[in-house]
Amino acid sequence: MTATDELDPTALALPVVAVVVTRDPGDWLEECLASIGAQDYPDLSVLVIDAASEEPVLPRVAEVLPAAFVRRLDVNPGFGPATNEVLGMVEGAAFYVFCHDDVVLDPTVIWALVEEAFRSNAGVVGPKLVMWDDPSRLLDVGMAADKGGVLMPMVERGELDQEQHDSVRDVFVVPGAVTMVRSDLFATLGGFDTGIEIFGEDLDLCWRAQVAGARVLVVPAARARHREGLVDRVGPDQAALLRNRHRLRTVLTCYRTYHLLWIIPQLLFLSFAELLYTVMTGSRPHAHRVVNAWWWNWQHRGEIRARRRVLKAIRRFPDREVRKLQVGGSARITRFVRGELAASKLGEELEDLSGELEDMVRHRPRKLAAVAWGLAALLFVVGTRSLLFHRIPSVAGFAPFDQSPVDLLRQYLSGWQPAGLGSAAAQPTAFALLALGGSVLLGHMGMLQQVLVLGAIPAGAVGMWRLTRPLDSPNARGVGLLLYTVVPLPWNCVAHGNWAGLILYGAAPWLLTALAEVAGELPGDEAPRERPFWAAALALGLLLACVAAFVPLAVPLLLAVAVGLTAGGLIGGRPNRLLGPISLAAGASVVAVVLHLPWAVALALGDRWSWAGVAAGGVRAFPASDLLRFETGPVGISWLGWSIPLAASVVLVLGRSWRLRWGLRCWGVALMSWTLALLGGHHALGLPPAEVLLAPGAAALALAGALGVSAFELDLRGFRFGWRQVASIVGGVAVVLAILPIALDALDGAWHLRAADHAGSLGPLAAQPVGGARTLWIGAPETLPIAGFHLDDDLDFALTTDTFGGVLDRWATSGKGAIDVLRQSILAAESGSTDQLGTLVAPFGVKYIVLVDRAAPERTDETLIPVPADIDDMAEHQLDLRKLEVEPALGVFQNVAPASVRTLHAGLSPAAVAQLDSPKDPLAAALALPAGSPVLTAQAGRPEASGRVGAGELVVGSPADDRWRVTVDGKAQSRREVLGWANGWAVPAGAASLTYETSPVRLLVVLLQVLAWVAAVVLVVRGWRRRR
Amino acid sequence: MNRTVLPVVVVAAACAVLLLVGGADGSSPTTVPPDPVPHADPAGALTSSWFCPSPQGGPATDVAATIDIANTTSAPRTGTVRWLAAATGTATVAPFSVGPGAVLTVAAPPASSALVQSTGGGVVVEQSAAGTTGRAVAHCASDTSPTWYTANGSTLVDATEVLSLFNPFPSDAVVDIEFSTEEGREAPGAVQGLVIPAGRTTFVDATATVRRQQVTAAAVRARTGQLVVTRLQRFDGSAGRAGLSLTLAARAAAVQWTFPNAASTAADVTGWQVFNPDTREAEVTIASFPTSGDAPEPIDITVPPRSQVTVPAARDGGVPTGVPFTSTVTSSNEVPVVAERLVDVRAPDTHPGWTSVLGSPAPARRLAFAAGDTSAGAEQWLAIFNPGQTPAKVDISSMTAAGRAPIAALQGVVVPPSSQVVFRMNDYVQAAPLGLEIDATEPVVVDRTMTTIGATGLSITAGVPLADPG
Repeated sequence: MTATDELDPTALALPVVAVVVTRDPGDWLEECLASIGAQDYPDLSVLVIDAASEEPVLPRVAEVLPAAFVRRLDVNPGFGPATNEVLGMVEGAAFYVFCHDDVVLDPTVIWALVEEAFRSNAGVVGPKLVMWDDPSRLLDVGMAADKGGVLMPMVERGELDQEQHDSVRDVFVVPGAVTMVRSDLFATLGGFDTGIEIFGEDLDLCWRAQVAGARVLVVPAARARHREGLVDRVGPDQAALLRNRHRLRTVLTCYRTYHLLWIIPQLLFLSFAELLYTVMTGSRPHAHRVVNAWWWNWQHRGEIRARRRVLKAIRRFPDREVRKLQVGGSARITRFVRGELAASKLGEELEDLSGELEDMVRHRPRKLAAVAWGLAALLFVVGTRSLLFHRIPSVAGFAPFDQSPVDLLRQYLSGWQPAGLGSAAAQPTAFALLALGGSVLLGHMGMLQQVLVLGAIPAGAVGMWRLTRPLDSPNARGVGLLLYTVVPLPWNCVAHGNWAGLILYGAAPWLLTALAEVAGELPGDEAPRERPFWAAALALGLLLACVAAFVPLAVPLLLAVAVGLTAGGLIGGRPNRLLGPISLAAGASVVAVVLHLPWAVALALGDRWSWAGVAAGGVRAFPASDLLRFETGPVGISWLGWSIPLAASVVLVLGRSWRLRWGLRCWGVALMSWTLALLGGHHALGLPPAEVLLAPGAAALALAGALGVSAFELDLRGFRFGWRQVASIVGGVAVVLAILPIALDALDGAWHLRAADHAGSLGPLAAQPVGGARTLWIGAPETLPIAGFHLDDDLDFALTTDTFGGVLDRWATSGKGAIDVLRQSILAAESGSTDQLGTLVAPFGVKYIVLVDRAAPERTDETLIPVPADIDDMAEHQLDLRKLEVEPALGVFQNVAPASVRTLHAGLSPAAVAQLDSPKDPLAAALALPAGSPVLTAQAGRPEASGRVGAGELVVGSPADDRWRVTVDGKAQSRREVLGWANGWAVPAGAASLTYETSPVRLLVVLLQVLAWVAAVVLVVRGWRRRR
Repeated sequence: MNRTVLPVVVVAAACAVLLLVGGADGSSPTTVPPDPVPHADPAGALTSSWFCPSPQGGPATDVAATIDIANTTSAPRTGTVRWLAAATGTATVAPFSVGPGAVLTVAAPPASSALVQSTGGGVVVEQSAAGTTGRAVAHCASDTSPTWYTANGSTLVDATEVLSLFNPFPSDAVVDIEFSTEEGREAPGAVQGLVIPAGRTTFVDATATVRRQQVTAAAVRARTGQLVVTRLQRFDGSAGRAGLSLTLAARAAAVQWTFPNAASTAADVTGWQVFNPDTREAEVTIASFPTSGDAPEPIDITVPPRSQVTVPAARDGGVPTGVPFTSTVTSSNEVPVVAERLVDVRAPDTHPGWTSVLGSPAPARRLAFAAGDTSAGAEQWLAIFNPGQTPAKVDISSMTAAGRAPIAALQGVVVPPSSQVVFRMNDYVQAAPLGLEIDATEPVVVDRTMTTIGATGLSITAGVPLADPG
């Protein structure tokens, strides 16, 4: 054979059969057939299946494609079943290309599809679909699907085709207009589902193909125009009905039983919610479709069972693998939230809400309380309107919730915590709580973030309403609520991305309620049955544990609040239960600590900065005048900010009896908060951000304001007109004035939190294949995107996996051991002891070093806290760091020394190996270590990794731990500590696998912890019921 | 005070205390100005880097270059010399090892700048350029900087002035160069926004850029990145002066510069060039301290912003000829300046040559030189000036390829306050290369003068400060 023969495409082409299913086609059929006839593929046969057209299509086909085969069916079984005719009619074809009769293929489509199917070993491939009338506009370039089979287009329909999506990629579904399937795969699958006539057969086929182990690809180099005439033929309502039915049928067919047990409740819940919505909006056809889908599939349960059995026989991929190919969350909810379903209805709903509020104010007796609630709700909705239903920007402590509940749960069970450099420390309980929350919200982690971040504000408002309940005065409760709403604290937390502050703001009134109850003296509308101490401590401890999961410092803070409460009581004289609050806080703290075992132990053994928990930063020093006004950010107007303390001081001048004594207690708590916040300005003390420490004070002052109203109602009657009346008027005016600055700032819509974040700025870097590398962040604590480690008096440093961190990075691990070596490396460069910081940090896998001046990009006007000049100068002087121009608020340096978490050093001399094993100085050893090659980079961000390695020294830049395992070609390799802190293996060439083996003790401890939480919840619920 | 008022007062007092105690923190961070001249890293440093821009560029490709690496510590030092080709940035790495107290000479490949990296500190690196108009020795830089200044230079018809701009970093640097001449400031378009690619050296031929100027001070300011700058100045003798001078530019200006003077003859033409890169006017005083006779009256000058002023030593008839002397250039209004001392020795003097050298901005107790030569045909002097009020006891050791050796006759040398002593080193040790280490009980300033016997060649270099041990 000559070279020319070898390259002859005709000789290489495998037989392909194009199958066109048609029924009563319009004049587009000829164009469709002509385009198939014009294909440049040498071995292409055409089979036209006439699905019982009223007028046979044979003459029309013969005119355009005389060589085509035509098979006429007596009845129309639908597209899928008609297509299945090919199984009985055709032999010897390698591929089938199934086409609707309203598509026009570019001449190279078949070649391109066959070529890619071979190259990528794909089972199902499809082309890029463009609009019939305007081929420059895209229809579909493959589709994704969620766990419920709801399709999500990969492109925006009608998007201008600028070849921006022209890369071959795996998709979940290729639209059925043109689908090429390997013939053996099609036979194995038994063709299309005969129970699906039209709409949904493509999803079903592709899903089953993937279960059978085949890849599904879209090949944008192949292009076809699609007229989409099918919907016109059956009508949009019927099309939607069929799609719903068939989607559910596919879901019920393709998942295994145990997975269905998890999925069906979620789908039922979604259907119920959808039904509820359609009933509310009066869309009866929509409601009918929802119900019909379930009913129809129930009727066809026998068929589904049979198909499940067939699929089981050919299954090669478990559901969890197929799930990886699907998009997370719910495509329907995403579409809804994006406004595709009912954006126009939102305004009407808000209007209804407004009507109800108006009714409440006009016709109910408790007008002030209603106004307070209305105002609070209005401020929240108007002020956060740009954040509600949108992604919360990843500014400071607002970590992106980038892990699914399953991943979080897996992380919680793992013995290896990935934050920082990673450690074998116990996992934060928050991982389990977030996994639980994510599961409740059906995996919508973005929604969970909204709830946990923005939800803290309404939670605080409700808590304040509950705290003031014993005052038995709607007016007092209204003022308390209003003051707590207009305190600038939570809004500044939003502005600065201070999640910890928001959590404490939400929790503070609830914590105070428990302490107030035990302190006694508040009258209450009905005396609750006395609770035993242990029950009160358990209930408060459970609440405290939930808060401490995110802000560990809440535990000692509660004790401080109790001390403040007691001290205030002492000033008032004769407190009945002097030590009650302190005892309860201590008891609750014990409960919280026990519930957080073993994480609590890890925290206690860690450095004190890890106590700050979520985004350790924010320890900016504020002058006392700012703290007294709770103005820690851009929200607020300085002189009007004094209105809140002024309103809260009315009780001190008007109050008598229990009102004065409780007013003093509140001021005791506020003074304690302010003092702690003032001390917290000193970074060295390791206290959390001022907002966290101020939250109890804000709640206490709001309560004091409410007590002032009670005093006005009860105590002022006994006095003739005088300064007391003037004081009460001043207090009233102060409450009104306190609203103004917040109302003005609410107009911003996002409390000055801008949509831009560093994750966006670093996007171009994230797009580069970093694989198994880390980013080192240096900056003031409040500017860092995650909890950091202490570097010096004013600076922290933090590590994220790849470019930008996620929720797992938010919990600081111990700042000792390997982190100490990293700290010494930075300090060595800062002191001028070396200009090779890149080489020093390369074994840690640090690919980028980012100096942060602001918590968000410069254009957001986020507070500028510049990195000290010596750090900036240090980075500029490093010979192995390349400065990248990314964003003015960030100094981004790329390490030119090869950096990877997993590095292979080949050909090391015995002396170099000896220094690797027993370095006198870890820093000198890192400098002397010859450059290695990154290996096992595919699974970046996870402890486990696998891939091929050459012979040499494998160094894993995670703190040394004897539970790390490496096998090469199945043989375990011997681990040792290298560089004084890392893990090393001498490995032969072969297929390597790196794993972390979690101790069985860890699983036992987890079990005990879960039992402890369950027991606590059960006991608290029982106690609550008993009291009721 | 009744029971109702007391609690209110307590709360109010507590708030007042908080307000008083918790005032805003008005402190602001202070920045340390960069060291204008090179210094050796402490021996305990993890690594030490030196940067030697190639002198073989532009019209000066005919000079030969070497670098000398001196190890001033008592432990061996290993490292690499990374030669970076000026035009391409292509790196050639040569490992080296220098014993305790030893000196190593490495020949430079053509037109390549050197990045010398050693494990540990205590290393001093100098570079030499030799051509038909003599030999010149200059410091390599111990640090990079975004700014570099030279106070002298000439582009007259007998002169060649080349600035070597070496960027050792993996990122490009973009610089603007401004010249100050007797006719005012010049910022030629060709050297504005000049890109120095990563790892490469760009040669700026000042002779072609700023034509026919008696004196050209230069300010190199980087818009982005950092670099190292040296100036090579050559006179061909057609107008009387002849010689080759290689000088590392100053990283920053300083308020005082000190110039010990090792040798002076009646044929010297000496003076100072003072360049003020600041935007404020500088009031400068130049004081001279001769080794014999009365000190002349200090000279006061005003240097306008971003300008240079030339001060001949003979101005106002103040400086005696033929007498070695130390001079200081001090900015009395604290506006930092850059000062160079010009020495122009012409035939029939036996040591003809031309050089212009930066002074020392601060004295030090320990100093060192890496490149030196007291072999046949070369002559070397050492001048030590004690600017303090206490006598300084000085020990001088030689560093050769074999290692360190104290020079017996130069141990415990006393330098009186505000005085200078001068030694002809050929009288004590004959070696090439010859490094020197000076240990003094008080901070001193040291200059080394090297000449070529019977040929043109004059080079003066200030000692490189070493970190105090411990």
